Amino acid sequence: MTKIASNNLLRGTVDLLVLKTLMHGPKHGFAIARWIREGSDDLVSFEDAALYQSLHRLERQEMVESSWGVSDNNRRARFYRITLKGKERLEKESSAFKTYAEAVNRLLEAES
Amino acid sequence: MPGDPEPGREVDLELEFHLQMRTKELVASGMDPARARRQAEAEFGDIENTRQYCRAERRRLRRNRQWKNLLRTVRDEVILVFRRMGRRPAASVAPVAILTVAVTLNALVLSVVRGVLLSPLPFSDAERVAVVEEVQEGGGVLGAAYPILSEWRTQARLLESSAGFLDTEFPLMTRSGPMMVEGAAVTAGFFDLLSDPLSRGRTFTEAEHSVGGTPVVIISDGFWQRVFGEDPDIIGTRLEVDGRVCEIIGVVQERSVFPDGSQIWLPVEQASPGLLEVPGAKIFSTRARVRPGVGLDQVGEELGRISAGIVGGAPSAGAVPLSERLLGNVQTPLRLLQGAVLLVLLAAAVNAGGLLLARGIRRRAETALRISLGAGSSRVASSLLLEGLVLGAAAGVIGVVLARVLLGPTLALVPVDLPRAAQISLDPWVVCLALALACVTGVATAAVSAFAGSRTSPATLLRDSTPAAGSSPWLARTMEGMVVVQVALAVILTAGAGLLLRSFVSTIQEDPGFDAGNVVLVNVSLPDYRYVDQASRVAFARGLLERAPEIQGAQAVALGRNLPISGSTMMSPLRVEGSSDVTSAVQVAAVTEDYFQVLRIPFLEGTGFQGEDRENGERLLVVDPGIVTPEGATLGVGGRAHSFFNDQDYRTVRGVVGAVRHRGLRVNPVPIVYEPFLQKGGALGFTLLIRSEAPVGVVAAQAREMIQALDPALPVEEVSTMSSRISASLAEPRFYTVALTLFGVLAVLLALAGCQASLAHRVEARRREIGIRMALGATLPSVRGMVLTRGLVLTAVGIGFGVLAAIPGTRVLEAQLYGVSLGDPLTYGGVLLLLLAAGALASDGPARRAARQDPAEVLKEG
Repeated sequence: MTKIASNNLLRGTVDLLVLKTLMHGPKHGFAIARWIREGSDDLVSFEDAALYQSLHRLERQEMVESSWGVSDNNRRARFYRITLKGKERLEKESSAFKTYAEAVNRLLEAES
Repeated sequence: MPGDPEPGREVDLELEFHLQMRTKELVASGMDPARARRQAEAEFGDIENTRQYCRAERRRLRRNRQWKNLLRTVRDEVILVFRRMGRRPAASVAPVAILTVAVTLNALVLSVVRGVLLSPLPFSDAERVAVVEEVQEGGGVLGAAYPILSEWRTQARLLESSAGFLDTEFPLMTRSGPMMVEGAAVTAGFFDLLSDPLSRGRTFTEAEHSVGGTPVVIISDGFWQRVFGEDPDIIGTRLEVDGRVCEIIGVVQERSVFPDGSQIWLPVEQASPGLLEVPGAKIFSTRARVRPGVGLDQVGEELGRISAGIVGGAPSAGAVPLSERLLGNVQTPLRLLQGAVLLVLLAAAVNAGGLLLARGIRRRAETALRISLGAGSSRVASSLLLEGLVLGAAAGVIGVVLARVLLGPTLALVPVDLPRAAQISLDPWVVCLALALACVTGVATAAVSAFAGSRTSPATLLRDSTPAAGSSPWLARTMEGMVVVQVALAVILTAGAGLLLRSFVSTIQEDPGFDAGNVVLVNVSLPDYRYVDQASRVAFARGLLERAPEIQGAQAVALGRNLPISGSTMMSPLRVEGSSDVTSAVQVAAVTEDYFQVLRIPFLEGTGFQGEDRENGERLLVVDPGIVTPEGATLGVGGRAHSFFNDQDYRTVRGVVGAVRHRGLRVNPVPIVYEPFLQKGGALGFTLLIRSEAPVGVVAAQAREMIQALDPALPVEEVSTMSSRISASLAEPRFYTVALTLFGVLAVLLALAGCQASLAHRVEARRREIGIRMALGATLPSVRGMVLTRGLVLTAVGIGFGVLAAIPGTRVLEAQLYGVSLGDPLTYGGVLLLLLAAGALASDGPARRAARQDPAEVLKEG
């Protein structure tokens, strides 16, 4: 199975995955990266740089909010939570993404 | 949150956390720590770039949050202000009302100034457009003759374009009958001078600018709306103008209308072909656009050179910038008006400010509470300023609405010949400026009380019990200072008003040299295509003259041209028999025999034409006493002279009449010579004068009937009276006098109210002192006297400052004054008395209240 390299993933898609991950509860950046990796059986991974850029961008857009807390191993870390606005955006964009993916899939599988 | 890392380091810490976690993971799977760290860093990607990016995002986030907080604070404050004002709305009514009146006046003046001085002129590149004319000795100004215009157009290299026009009236035939319409006969290139004049259609072609050209006409937008109901097929419709059926080829939009008031335009070659040949007909007003960088003196020189070689051309021409000619006379008085109305705004602001200050003093307890609960003094101050802003905004909105309502009546007062008067309106520019002015004024009004509010010390305030006691001496002095300012402003404005009033009175007391009462004037305009020769014109005039005495109550009737105070000047030098040279130019009028009777111009010597006003009659003249030959001899009865209007032979002077103020009440009489109207061939345009005691409407109707009986196709003419003409000539000084008087009265009322409020506050603040005095034996009159004295002292100080300011301030009025000097003692004496009386009146109420106190009560309060 081909690994989807980070530079093939659109910014929007990264944002979408981050939001979805946070639906499962507040996390810090490292935890989000691990979750996405594990959740896709290591197929989807992207540079951590892109992840942190996405997180800060999402916070500025008020899709997520953050606060400093303490991690499992007693270290100070920044925890992110999804907001109401973020949930709405997730819903809207994931259905758009699914429609797009289905359409592309249909075209690719069409009889030539 | 406390405990968070500082903003500069947050991102670094976060990224560092990630790297350390990954490193630990790798170490846990057996990697060497140093290598694990390098691996983690490599996996991360571009750390530095990410750091910058995240920092930037955080900065934006922080800024957004700050902005939101600010808006929320402002919103809270606004709600607070409204709630506070809502609890006691009555307290806000007075300041808003005062400011509203001032804003309304300012908005009205702004629309006038904007329309007249600031609205763009209809010419493209207006700053390069000049008026070209020939200035005569004696003050008359001549235009150019048609042949000259053509030469200028083709030869002048310094001009980009030029054209001439005649501002005139045209008889039209419409479905509802004949009507006269203002318009212009223009030469080729006229519309090129204007900027984008047409809303539809096209301008005249060169072919149409010729005597045999296809009859065409261009109409204005307003005309199209009024007469044709905005018919979309207007282009190509026919219109009968001056007996010719013309095709409408274009519509001019309202903002491009030039000359002012025009509704139709025709090529002059079609409208008045007869004028084209006459070299001496220097009647075309000329406008020219000058090439960039060319000076107007050069233009004058070049044009003079070109015209010098042509018969009838003047050896020199003058070019004057358009704006100067158009607006020169009105700039100063309008700026004056603007300045005066701003002074009214200032007075209103100070007055309202005093009200707010007094209210702030009464609200001190609340303010002290707010401060002690943690609101910073700047928060209190900004809250008060915000309140001022709200008051100002309210005054602004109401004021603008009121101004819109009052715009109509104001325009009725505005002098009719004010240039660009059609452009006066409450346009968005004026509205925005008025609102901005109102808001700024509102804030300024609150400034003093905001400053005072922020200085309140909670401890002192919470201790005090009486409402006004303990207001610091600073506050009392400030309030009194505000009264002084208001009085001073009132002095300036009333001094100005007084000077203008006296000028106006001096003007109307001037003897015009004739009796304007009961004289009805009917203008008659004969179309030249039906009254081609002199005989027909004289026949019409004679017919009218014969019937006119039958008008009800007619005591005398006459016909005449170039009447006094009509604005038309026709000047010519006279050649006097026996004199080596011609006299300087005199006014020439053509009148019938009974003219002097109608206007009751007295004969100083000799008699009038006495029946000689006919073709074969004796050649006569009547003169006034002011005609002097170059040798210094006065022309009198028996002398012989002639003008240069179609006259080569001498006429004998039969009579000398009293001088007449021909140009207006404020202008000294110019020498006039009267020629016999009928003998000189009548005219196409003249006036019928009727002295009658019957009502004007009756006289007018009968006169019109007679004119219609003589020629049914003549359009209905404008009827006026001599007194209304004189009144109209005074429209400008009247306008400024009324305006400034209104401002003066307002300022005095404001000063009165402000003085009273300040004294009342003072009485309230000093209740204990007054009570003690009364207990110790001070009589009621002496208590009242104390208050009165204070009031008069304040007023006197205000008058002092006011007079000092008025002296340089009224200098700008100098050009508007007539028969009165700038430092007129009568005016200033009046102002002094008026304001002292106002001060005394203002003291009355507070004085009584002071005297009414019961000393026992006051002392009990402790």
